[in-house]
Amino acid sequence: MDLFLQQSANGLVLGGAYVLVALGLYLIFSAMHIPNFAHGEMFALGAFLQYALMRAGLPFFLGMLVVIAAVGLVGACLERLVFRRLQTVSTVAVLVGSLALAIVVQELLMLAFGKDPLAVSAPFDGRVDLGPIVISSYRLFIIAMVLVASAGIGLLVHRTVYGRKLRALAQNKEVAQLTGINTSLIGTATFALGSALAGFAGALLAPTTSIHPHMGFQPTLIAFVVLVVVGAGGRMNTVIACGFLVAVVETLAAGYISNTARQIVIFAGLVVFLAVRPEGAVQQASSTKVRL
Amino acid sequence: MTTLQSTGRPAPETPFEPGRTGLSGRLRDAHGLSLPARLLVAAVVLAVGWVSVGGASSSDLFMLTTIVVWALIATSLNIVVGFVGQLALSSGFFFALGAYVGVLGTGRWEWPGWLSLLVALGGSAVLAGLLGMVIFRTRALYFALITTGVSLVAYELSFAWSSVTGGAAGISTAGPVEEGGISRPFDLGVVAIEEPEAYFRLGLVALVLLVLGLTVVLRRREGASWRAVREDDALAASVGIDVARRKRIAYIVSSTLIGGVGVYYGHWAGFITPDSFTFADAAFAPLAMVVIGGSGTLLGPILGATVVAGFPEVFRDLRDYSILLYGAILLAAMMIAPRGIVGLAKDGVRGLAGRRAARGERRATTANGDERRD
Repeated sequence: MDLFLQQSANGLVLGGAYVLVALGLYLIFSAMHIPNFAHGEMFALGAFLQYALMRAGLPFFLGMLVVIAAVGLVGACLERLVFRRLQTVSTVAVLVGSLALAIVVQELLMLAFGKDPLAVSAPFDGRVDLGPIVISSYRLFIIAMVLVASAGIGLLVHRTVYGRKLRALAQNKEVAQLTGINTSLIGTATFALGSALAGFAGALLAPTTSIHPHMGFQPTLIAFVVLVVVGAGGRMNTVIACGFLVAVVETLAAGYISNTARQIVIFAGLVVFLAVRPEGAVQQASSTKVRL
Repeated sequence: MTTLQSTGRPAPETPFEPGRTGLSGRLRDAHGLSLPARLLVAAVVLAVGWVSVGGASSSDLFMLTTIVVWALIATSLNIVVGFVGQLALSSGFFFALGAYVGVLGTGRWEWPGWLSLLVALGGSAVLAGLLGMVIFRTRALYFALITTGVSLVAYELSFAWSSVTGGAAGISTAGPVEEGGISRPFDLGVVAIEEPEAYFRLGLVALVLLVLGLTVVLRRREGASWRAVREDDALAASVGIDVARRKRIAYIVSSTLIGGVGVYYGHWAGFITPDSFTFADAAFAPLAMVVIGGSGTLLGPILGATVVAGFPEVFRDLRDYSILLYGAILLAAMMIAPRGIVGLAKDGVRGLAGRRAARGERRATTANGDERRD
């Protein structure tokens, strides 16, 4: 039981990364129908930038703010320079092109920072004793921050003018354009927002993992798994719940079976799940194209 | 149906002119090069390849055989990706399956090579059939992801199931790694393949046969149905094509062939580790080859395999930058030339031909009134 609780707690921390990466991917995919396989590279970029800024002497949280802005900017540039062009070609081009982009980003990170894994120290120490489990206070802070950030995104999408325009774009691009929404600008802003979320996740999680150029691959895959499992009719709260769930399942598999089993359990589960429900968990109502 | 014609075959846009005489008239038909011409090309390629490797250095031979292995995989994958239009990323699974069956068959169970090959082909076909019942319920992105999952599970299993696969240490055709020993020949019943030249020749023969076989299939009902499914599956279904069945058959054929290539690869390498079957190398790279070369064409995957597999060799001096360049070129190819090398070449040829035809047409219409249009 103790192992179960401890692994679940670890899973929730890992889930924080998955949730933020998946949320960004979900926003980008719902609004613009771009399956961005380079999304996890924004997570890696965030972690590396956090490392670089802390090396340069910036305090942790100030560095984190810079990382969010910088990765968001990178996302906006990528949308304008790469994805806008790829999207006019075909879905296959977006898929293969974004995987190629992922390779480029990984290699650039490797050239800039070297092959050896790097580490960042947490901004504060201390442990919290929660009965059977002990968890470091920074990890608890991560879980709290992920929930706060998710709530913030929820407010942004459902309670602001930008959010209303974004939802209109997701529903129907042509109609949104006809009503006078600058869909091009909203698209770029959403891509920047999604990338910034992934960058934020990278900076936030940097003290808990080893930082290496390939660290973005796993979150990308899991984010896509979440997206597919949730299905086209899913909403953001489903994405968040599913992100945490996948991470907990993964860490439990690692704890109870073996470390190599985590990937097998997730993807074998995915194959079986899609075999039973090819539409995903939440089916789309035929009247709505996309829900945000 | 015009869309089908316009993107289906290499150079179908060049109108077939029955009245045209001379060499070019006999060499071309509605599908591009005519079958006898293709047989001739195949024979020439085979003869040149067969003879020229005689004096090749071992590093050249290694390089050439690597290209042949990937050309075989890319060509097989092109069946389902290029001709049926399903973005399958499961090649890593079948490649690994074939390679492990081949190496274990020869190394551990002491089967003759042809038996391993049969078992791998049969196993791949059965598993592809079972998977095909499930994965084609999903579409587009979902399909790409479910097949990605299949490849990833294979890679992880090759680590985790170490009692059979030897885990990270790998396994060789000479039996367990710790016993050492030299790799065993690939016993095909009639011939036993052992020398590097023989492996290259075997691969070349297989590639030529595969391409010729595909040429024939594409000219028949099955190939036409594949392309109809790719262009518009709703329309294909409306003219009586069993879309699900066509997709499944193409997937089984493609996966079975990849399993067979795995057996060949395992024997040629003599020693395999899970690192040969990472997602990037065994699942994504073949897709990249198909796309870079030109998906849905016969020459495309071979050109793509040459470019991608030959890349590290050509840019050996750039060591640290070679993967970066690979990614950058792939990205640029997707942005600039999404139809691959073959697509680029065809556009170039059509541009030239178009200009010439425009000139010829002006002359023809002045000479006699009725002009055959496409």
